[in-house]
Amino acid sequence: MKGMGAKMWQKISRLYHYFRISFIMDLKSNIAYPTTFLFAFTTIPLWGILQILLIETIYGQTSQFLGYTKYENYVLFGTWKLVQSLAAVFFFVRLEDLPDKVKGTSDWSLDMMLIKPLDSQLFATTGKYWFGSLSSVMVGIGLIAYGLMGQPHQIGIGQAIGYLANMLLGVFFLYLVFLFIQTWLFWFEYLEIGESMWFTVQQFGEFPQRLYSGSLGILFNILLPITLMASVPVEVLFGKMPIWMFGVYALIVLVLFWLTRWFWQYSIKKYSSFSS
Amino acid sequence: MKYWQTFLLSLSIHFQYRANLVLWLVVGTIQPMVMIIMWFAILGDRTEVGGYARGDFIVYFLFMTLGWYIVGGSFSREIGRAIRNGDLNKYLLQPYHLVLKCFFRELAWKAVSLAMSLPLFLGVLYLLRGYLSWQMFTGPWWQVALSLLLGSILFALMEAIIGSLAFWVTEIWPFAEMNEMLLNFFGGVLAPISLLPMVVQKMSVYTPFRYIFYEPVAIALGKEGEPVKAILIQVLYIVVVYVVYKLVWKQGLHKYEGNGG
Repeated sequence: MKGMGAKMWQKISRLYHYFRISFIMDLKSNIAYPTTFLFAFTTIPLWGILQILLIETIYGQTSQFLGYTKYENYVLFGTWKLVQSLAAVFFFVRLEDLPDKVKGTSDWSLDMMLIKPLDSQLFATTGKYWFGSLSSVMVGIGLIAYGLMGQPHQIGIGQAIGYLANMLLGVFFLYLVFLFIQTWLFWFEYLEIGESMWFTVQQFGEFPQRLYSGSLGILFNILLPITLMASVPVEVLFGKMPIWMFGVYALIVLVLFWLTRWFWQYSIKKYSSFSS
Repeated sequence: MKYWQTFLLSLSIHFQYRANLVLWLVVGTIQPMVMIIMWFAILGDRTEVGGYARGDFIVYFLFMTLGWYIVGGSFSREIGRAIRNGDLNKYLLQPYHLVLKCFFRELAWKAVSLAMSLPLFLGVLYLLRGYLSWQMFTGPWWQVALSLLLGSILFALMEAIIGSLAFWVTEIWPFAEMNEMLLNFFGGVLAPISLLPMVVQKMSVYTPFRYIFYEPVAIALGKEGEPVKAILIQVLYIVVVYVVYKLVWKQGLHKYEGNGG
């Protein structure tokens, strides 16, 4: 029992070391070669303007959209932006680069990653940071702040914590979605659509849960709860959804985590290392 | 004829990787689907908003998606990559123009995607036939076809300019992304322009983006009051953008050092 604890501690400390070193290296690399970062930092947040335009267009035609006022919708879209950007900051680089790793055309082939003393899934899919999306994080926070100032709500500490917890669950869920999409690379080597697919699927998470009814509702609100990106946290924040629902969503995400991990481990056995 | 071979070769490559094609189709369907669901929710019990009924929204967004396979097709990044890597060197020695070669490669993708999406498109129209009627397509077919053709030329020229920026900068994706964003903003991709805030509607008239996707669809649906004028503006924009492209390409070649390749 004591041995197991020590092993676990060793694993955690190795992971911590890995994430810390990667973070420092990425930071140094961005400082040394800042062009890509600066371009991304200035361009990516402009998509936020599009969201503002969409809100203004919607509320140019109606005063209530699926039970949300205009300012509540700003909080909703801001949360969506925040979750999307955080997922991009933490998970985008490694997962986006996976096709090249599988093909062996990247700086590190997947072979090299598999022989390291770290969990293959963690090493191949996490541990690189996309700082270019940090400006988008700020845009998300700005939209949320604007929405909350435009229409103040009484928000309890429990609701605020529930909001943050669901939001982080949403970030993790997005990682699982990207991981699931990219794992298909082991089955179709020249699949080049993972990134576009990931960003496109996120559009389902931009709107209130009530937009999806019937079988679509079951799919997007329960089985693959993409509405965790915005609607669920915001409804907890505004008291429209009980805080305990976090437990339900955590359970769903846990099951999805287990399934995607199983899929990864099963698929990696198919990896033939043919071009490295 | 030489570009026809490029087209055929690209066609066979795309057929080789069919999984990509199918998934692109899925990706292409998601945005219009979300938009249609959203506008249906906004409509609620009303029969129309801003002159658009349920059927108009279905046709508008489906045609926008289909329009991408006729008008759109991004190849600026391919041009940029060839310039950055020095692959342009071989094109300068061969009787091929890099831009045209990239254009025809993309055209192959568009042709395959269009062929694949048509049955799906017709299937969706059949399923939603309750909302639709033939009276919705009031635009004369020759105006629609001409506007689509002009829109595609305009789009291709803009892609060529963005790709050519690689002569000066190593990363052209921010410009490509900006172009995409402006198309959403002023080009009616996000929503029909007449439903956008007035300030955006007014600004869109003075940008070329409106004349790429929106005008052909608006002409088809009879939402454009002066279709001939819109077509003439498309021609005017093509002339202006073509001159800019020629200048950019010429200046770029002067600056090009041919590293790599």
